[in-house]
Formats: sequence, structure tokens, C-alpha cells
Amino acid sequence: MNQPLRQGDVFLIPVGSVPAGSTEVDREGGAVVLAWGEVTGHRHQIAGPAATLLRTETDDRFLRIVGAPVDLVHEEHSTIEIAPGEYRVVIGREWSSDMESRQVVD
Amino acid sequence: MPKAIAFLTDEQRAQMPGWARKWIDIGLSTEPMDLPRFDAGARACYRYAGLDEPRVVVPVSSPIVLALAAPIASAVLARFTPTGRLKKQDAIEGAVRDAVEGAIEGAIGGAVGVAVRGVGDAVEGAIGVAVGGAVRGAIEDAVRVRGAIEGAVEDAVEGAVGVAVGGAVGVAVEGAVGVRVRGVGGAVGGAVNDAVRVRGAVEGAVRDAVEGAVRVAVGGAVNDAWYRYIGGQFWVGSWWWYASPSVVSYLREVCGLTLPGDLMDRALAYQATAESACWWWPHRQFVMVSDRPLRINLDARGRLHSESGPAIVWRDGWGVYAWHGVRVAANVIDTPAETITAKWIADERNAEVRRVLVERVGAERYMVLAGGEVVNRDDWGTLWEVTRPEPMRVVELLNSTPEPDGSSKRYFLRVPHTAERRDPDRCVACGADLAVIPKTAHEAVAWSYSVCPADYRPAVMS
Repeated sequence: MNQPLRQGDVFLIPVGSVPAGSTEVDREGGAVVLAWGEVTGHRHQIAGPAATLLRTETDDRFLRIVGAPVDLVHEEHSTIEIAPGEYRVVIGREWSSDMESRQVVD
Repeated sequence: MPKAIAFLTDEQRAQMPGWARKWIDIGLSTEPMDLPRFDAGARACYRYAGLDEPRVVVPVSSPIVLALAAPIASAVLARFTPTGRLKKQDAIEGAVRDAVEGAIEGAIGGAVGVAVRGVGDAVEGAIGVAVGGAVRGAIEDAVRVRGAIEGAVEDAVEGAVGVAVGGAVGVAVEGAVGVRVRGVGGAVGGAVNDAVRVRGAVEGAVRDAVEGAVRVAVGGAVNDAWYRYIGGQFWVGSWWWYASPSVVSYLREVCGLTLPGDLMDRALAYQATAESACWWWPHRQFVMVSDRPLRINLDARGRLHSESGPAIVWRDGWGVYAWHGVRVAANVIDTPAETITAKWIADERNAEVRRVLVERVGAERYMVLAGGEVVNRDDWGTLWEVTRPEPMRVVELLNSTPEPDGSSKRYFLRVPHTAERRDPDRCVACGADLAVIPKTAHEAVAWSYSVCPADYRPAVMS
């Protein structure tokens, strides 16, 4: 079984399978972008064809890596190698005063 | 002169850093724009795209002026014929669609022309993954023709110009040089791209200004079209969409690459626009082009940074405030640190901007201001209970990747101070109930990633 990995706000949890009915999320500039910083323009991204980002009907995100390990890169975090397999993509969230949680915005 | 390059000599590789430096200087140039050179380059781009030359090239003072004025001009032009009569919408749509399709088709051939007419998925197979993004963008541009405003948007020929000039060169270069030289893109284009980081900040600032202030006044015209610009000096390192001038010029001038037909002339025409001005906005009838900035301040790592005033500013006074690459509002920089309040920090929704505010105030002083008391300290961070401006729990975390100077960015993230929830709050890995008050920093961090502490055990963190 693969290991959970974290790069900044992005937490990857290995899963056995991606929910049926998930659809592919468009690439940006040829890369799979897991998260994007609104005020920095920085991206957590994976180049190359081995990675696919998928979205379920409830907008949960999953990452599929086939073949060889890929690099998850970011402008200001060290690169992380991701082994082939399937992962749930969790983006960090924060508590908000209206009792609803929200995603970390950066 | 080689038509294909299979490998780079040591001598050619040795020239990469200098080449990158030269293009970084172009990308960060603060000289006034060279309008005659830009004008000639832009007109040549139109000719190579198979378009009539623009009737006029309009210089403006900054990207924000361009982002507002160009789409409005486009929307106005779309509503009137050359003699001043209001046009019939169907005619406009048809004419524009035909023209854009024609430009794309002429530029890159039948494979794409088919796709433009609706066989979208055939494109990647037909011309390859390498240019899929660029072509898809052009196709999206060509088929998204609805209504007066969008018709005006369609009149913008960014897609056609880009595909004809940049895209075609990109395909030819990739084909000619082969996979082994892709590293040039990384080494030269990537280095230049990393260095010319101002582009993201400027784009973000323009986006915010447009979305915040202008939507009501001019409807969708600006909102839907401002981003159809070409980056000029800020895109000298980008490979996607437009063949990077830094890379193409390296291959041409250092490696002696030649390309079939007039492709290198197209590359030179595009290069001239990048070398002479900042953002530009191509329209079938006009080109609007922004002056280069007056001043750019960077920190030691090449990030936009200024501790007083904007970090990048144009001659008309418009600019972008930034703190070590984080784009912020002017008051985040201009307000004296001693007058920044705990409420301001708590109310700041963006975790990066909040970190900047805390950095200016000082983390220790912030916790004094907020009346913070330590609940728990463990290997993951520090969990605080604060009282100002209101009772809440905050977990203090250090970035796993240290800064080059050995320090680590400190983030203060809000976590629950109550077990009440409006919606179910369950671990996304095991389903355990997360509707609790975290008692340790580990529990707080796990909660922030929507998992229970048992499922928050990353093997690698950066």
C-alpha cells in the first residue's frame, strides 16, 4: 500500500479505487494542478501524461498515477515523488466563525 | 545550419545560464516600451496569421488600463458597422466565426480545421499532446460565439494570432529538435519563467480589480475578455501557448536551428513584441499595448517584494503590492506594524496574507494581542486558545520546507473551538466523527485535512 503524502496544503491519501462516475479535470498548461495559490500564483502541479486528476459528482478529487512515479512540484515546497496508484486529494481547510468549515485560501 | 538538433554540445550547454540571464533582463525590463519595434512585430504577427493588419496600434500606460479599455473598445466596435450603423447580430457572429476559423485553419492546417467544426476530441490525436492545450484554447475561442458581448469577445484574435505565430513555431520546433532537447525548455525557459515571477502577481491584481469594481459598470464586456491578452515581456519564458522567445532564440542563435518555410520569421515577429513591450491585446481592428513598468522591486530570491509602496509600478501610478511574492492590499504594506490589530489578522481569510500580517507584527506579539494561551505543544505544532477578537482555537504550524535562510514560515490556522457543526464532519478516510474540539496540535492539523488523527500520518511532508 502506498503512503500518505503532504505538500503544503495538499494531503494525498492512498485509496483502493476511485469512485465510479468520476470525470477527468482539465489540465492547465499541460499539467495536472492540484491546488493554486490565489495571491502567490504558485501551483502544486504534476507534469507529464502519467497523472490524471478526477472529480466525483460531489466534487471530491482523486489523483491517478500510472506507470512510473511522478514528481509533485511547487515553487516554494520541496518536490515530492508520488508512486503509481490512486489517491484522494484533500486540500487543507479552516474553521470559520459561522460554524462552517472552509478551505484554506491562499 | 542544422534543421534538427539531436543533442547539445557542452559548449552550447555552457551558454544556457547567460542566455537565461539575458532573457530575464528582457522580462524584467523597466525601459519605456519601444513602440516602433512593437508595432512592426505585431503587424507582422497579423500577416503571418493570415489576418488584415490592425488599423491602429494604441499605446496605453499600464496593464490595468489595457484590461479595461481594450474589451470595452471591442464591445463598442462589435455593435457598429464602419459607417456607424448598428450591426445585425447574426451577421456579426457568422462573420467572426468564419474569420477566426479561417485564421486557425490557414495557420495550422486541416487537422485543426476539422476540430474547429466540432470534432473536439480528434485534436489531440491529430496534432499531438504537446500542442493540445494551445489548440484547444483556440478552438474554445472559435466556437464560443453567443450574443453581442461574446461576439465582441470573439473578435479578439488572441487565439488565432497565438496559434499562427506561437503555436506553429512550437510544433515545428518540437518536431525538429526532438525529445532530447526538451531540457532546453526547462533550463532556459524554466529559469526565465521562474525569474519573471511578476506575471502572476500582475495578472492576479488585474483580475481582482476587474472583478471587484467594473462588473456593474460595463456588464460582462470587461469581465469576459480582459484575460485575452498576450503577456509580452512577462511571457518570454513560457512554452505553453506561445513558443517561448527565450527558448526559440537559444535554439536559433546558439544551436543554429533552422525551421521550414517562414516559421522562424514568425518566431522573430513574436519575439519582437516580447522584447519591446508589456501586455498587449489583439483585436481584428486594433492592437492595444501596455507600457513596461517603471520600477520592479524583488527580494533576494527574485520574488516581488517591497516594504513601502508597490513592488511593481507603472508610469501611470498603477501597481501591485507584494510581500516576498505574496500579493497583498496596499494597507498590508503601508499600515505601521504597531497599528495592525488582532481583529484584522483574524478577519483575513487568506492564510498567506494572514501570515504576512503576522510576520509584520511578529508572531509572539500577535499572540499577546490575541490573548493567546498554549493548549498543547507537540511535534506537529502549537495549539493556542485565543480570546481576541473572539474566543477561538488556532494551530500554529511551521512550513515543512525551510526557507533558504534556514527559517520557516509560520502559519496560524483556525480550528474548531466547539463540537457543534452545521453539517456532518467526518474523516474522509475512515468515517470517524470529527465534530469534536481538538485537544492537541496533531488533532488540530488532522482536522484541517479532514481526517482523524489516526489517519493523519504523512510519510513525506514538504
